[in-house]
Amino acid sequence: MYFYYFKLALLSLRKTPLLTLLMVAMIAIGIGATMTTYTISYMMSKDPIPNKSANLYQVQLDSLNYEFADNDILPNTIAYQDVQALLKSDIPKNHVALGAIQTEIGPIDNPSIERQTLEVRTATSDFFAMFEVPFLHGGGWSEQDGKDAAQVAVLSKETNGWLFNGENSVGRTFYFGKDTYRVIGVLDDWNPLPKYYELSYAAFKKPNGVFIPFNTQIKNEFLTLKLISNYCWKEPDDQSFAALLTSECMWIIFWVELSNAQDRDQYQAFIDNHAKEQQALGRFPRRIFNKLLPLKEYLTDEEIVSDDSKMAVWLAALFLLVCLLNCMSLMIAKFDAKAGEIGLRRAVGASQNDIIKQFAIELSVIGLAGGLLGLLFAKLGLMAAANTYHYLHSGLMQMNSQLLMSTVMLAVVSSLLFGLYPITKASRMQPSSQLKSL
Amino acid sequence: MRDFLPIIKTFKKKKTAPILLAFQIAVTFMVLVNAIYMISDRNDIIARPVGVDIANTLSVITNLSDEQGDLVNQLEDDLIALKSIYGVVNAAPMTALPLEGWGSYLDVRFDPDEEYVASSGYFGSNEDVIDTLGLRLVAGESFLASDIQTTELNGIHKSAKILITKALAEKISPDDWRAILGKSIYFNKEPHEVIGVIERLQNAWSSWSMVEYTVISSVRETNHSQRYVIRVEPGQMESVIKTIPEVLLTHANKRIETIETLSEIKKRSYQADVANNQLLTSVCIGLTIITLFGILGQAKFTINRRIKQIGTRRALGASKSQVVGYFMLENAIISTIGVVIGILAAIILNNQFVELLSITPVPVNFLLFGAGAIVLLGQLAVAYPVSQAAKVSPAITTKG
Repeated sequence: MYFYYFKLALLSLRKTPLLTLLMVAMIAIGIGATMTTYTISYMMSKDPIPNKSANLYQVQLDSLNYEFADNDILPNTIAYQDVQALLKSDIPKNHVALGAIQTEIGPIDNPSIERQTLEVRTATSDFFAMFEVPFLHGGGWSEQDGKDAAQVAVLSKETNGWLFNGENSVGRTFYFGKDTYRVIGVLDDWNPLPKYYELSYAAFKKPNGVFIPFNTQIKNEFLTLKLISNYCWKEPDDQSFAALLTSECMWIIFWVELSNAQDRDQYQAFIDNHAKEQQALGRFPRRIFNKLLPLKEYLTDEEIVSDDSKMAVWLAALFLLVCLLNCMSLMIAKFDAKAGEIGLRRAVGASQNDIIKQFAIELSVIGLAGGLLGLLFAKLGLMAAANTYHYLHSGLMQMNSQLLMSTVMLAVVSSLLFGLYPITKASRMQPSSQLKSL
Repeated sequence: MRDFLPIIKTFKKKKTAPILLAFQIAVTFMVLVNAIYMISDRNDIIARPVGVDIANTLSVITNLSDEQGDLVNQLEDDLIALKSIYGVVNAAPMTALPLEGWGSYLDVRFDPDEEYVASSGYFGSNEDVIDTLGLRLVAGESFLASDIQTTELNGIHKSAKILITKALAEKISPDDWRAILGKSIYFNKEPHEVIGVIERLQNAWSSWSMVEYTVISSVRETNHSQRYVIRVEPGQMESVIKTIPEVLLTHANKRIETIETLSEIKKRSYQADVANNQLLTSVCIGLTIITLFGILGQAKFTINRRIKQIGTRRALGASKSQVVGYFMLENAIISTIGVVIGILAAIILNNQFVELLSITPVPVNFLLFGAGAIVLLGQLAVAYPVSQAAKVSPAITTKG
């Protein structure tokens, strides 16, 4: 039965090729535009680390002497003195202090490769476990290496490709500024989107190409102000790096992983306690107000998904609506032209339901074709978007299987939804009115 | 106009198609008006002057190296070298660059223990800053060489003489902005004496609502990553950029991080806005085409259905232009209904949209102008099928 309707549908579509093509094109254009913008917005707002996003918290401490912004908003960074104290706690499953520097890097034994200035992530040893960073060769540095400020580094796949031709470079050395550092790990492809552990301005940029222990940065007094958010509400004693470390300047991002609510409460008590101790020593002059900001809240607070991208989705959805309304007019025109056929089928015994089924199948075929063509348009749209939004990570412009499926679904469902009225209208037609003219 | 009543009567009989078309026009109208308004709004923002002759100004970021001894000497050597290049008007050190997206900001207070009265961007430079950036001093005076202090980092904490933009002066001294001259304002508990007001200079963040509030302090910094701004004579940009590495790279420890014109920095600063405008423009174009197709298809469909009726009217003495007029009027009525729904929806939905997406509401004259444009567009789209309809021969009534 359904197979017969399917055949009828194809027959009918072939009879009016221009109209069919127009309907398919309308749906495809609307779907293409909607899915292009939706993909970008979806990829921007998706949970970057679903299996543990509920357990990750950014630590924010109010060590200021006056109100920062609105009462509840605190800087994203904390002072070095506090980092040292927090790292002593064994309540979190993982905790990590993050900094960033910029330095010149180059190979030792390959003069044909010119040195480059690269951005380097500095982190404590839990970084790789906490953010589930995949390794191709070797691994991260040990806690001891981290504490000892060892001159070791983890390279991204890309950096390793550039420095060592993509070979397993674990154990080999390279120029890091004026020193030589030893490679202890090479990452596999790793592109968390959004790059949640960072300051918000870099959320859609690639992770840095080199990683070194945080203490190595401290020991060698590396500092690149451009790459950090340094909030110095009180001037350091002098211009030295040592003075920065003992100052109130807040410049280190600090994340903790807390497995459950109990740990969370315990850790909150721990940081509050730390603040009280410091207050007794004359720091934390304003109040004891410390936040464990859940990752998801951090992403919304920082407006990682821009209003612009949400607005683009809205506009594209309205665009789809216009396309579908247009398509609906075409459907009405089409069914109107088929009045004679409907009358005849009804007269020879087809029920209203049969007519509805037949046309629903016809529309599903159109919707499906529109959806598939729409996928192609969306693909082209995303390519154009990658070009227009060249400064964003290209990973945002890629559909996953979930999006692919929902694109086709959206096309079929919306064409049926907008076909509902034309179909029922056609099925209600009185056979007699049409048979007269036959 | 006497066609008006018959048209309305036809709508009553066959209402679905015109309703759909009117609705489609309403949505199109809403999207177009909002999108075009957003585009022009953004273009206005991008077109705001920086306050600097950006086409003839460039920035160099280079290192000052501890291995080479005193940083202040290196800074002065660099400046002498840069100023010696043929085609350079002047050069000055700067702690950050306009629209660079990175730098320091501060809260301005009249009394260190009181609430702040404004926030502002911060640049530290020397006595050459006015000439180098081509700023216009509208009150007071510029720095003297003897005013300039030197520090390695955090010049923002040093009490110093400052210049402020007129926008900031008007903000903190609303009654008489000139009255701010000679007064001290505080940031980080240190007093800073305002000695001059400059007409305009945007600070480091183009998307900040306070981008026009800028302070230039007479404190130069000797950063390890040092920024210089250089103004060149018109037409000399390329040759100056080529010469800079030759004069700066005098020893093995010297590196140049970037050489960029301020036009490039401005372009990067607004790249998201430009990209979004492109997206909006393509949505507008696509939507217009689709709607035109809709109007065209609708006209063709109704005309095909009424071939006989047209023939009859022609046979009864209607001229071609009367037939054309009938269908044009029909389309104009549908478009107008659509636009009216669109305006009502825009007014009702606008508040939600404004809140949801934090956009500025569309002004009324924009709505009216858009309405006119849409009706005109409909008339254009309908013109071709209608001119075909007018060709229907009266003889058709005699057949079948």
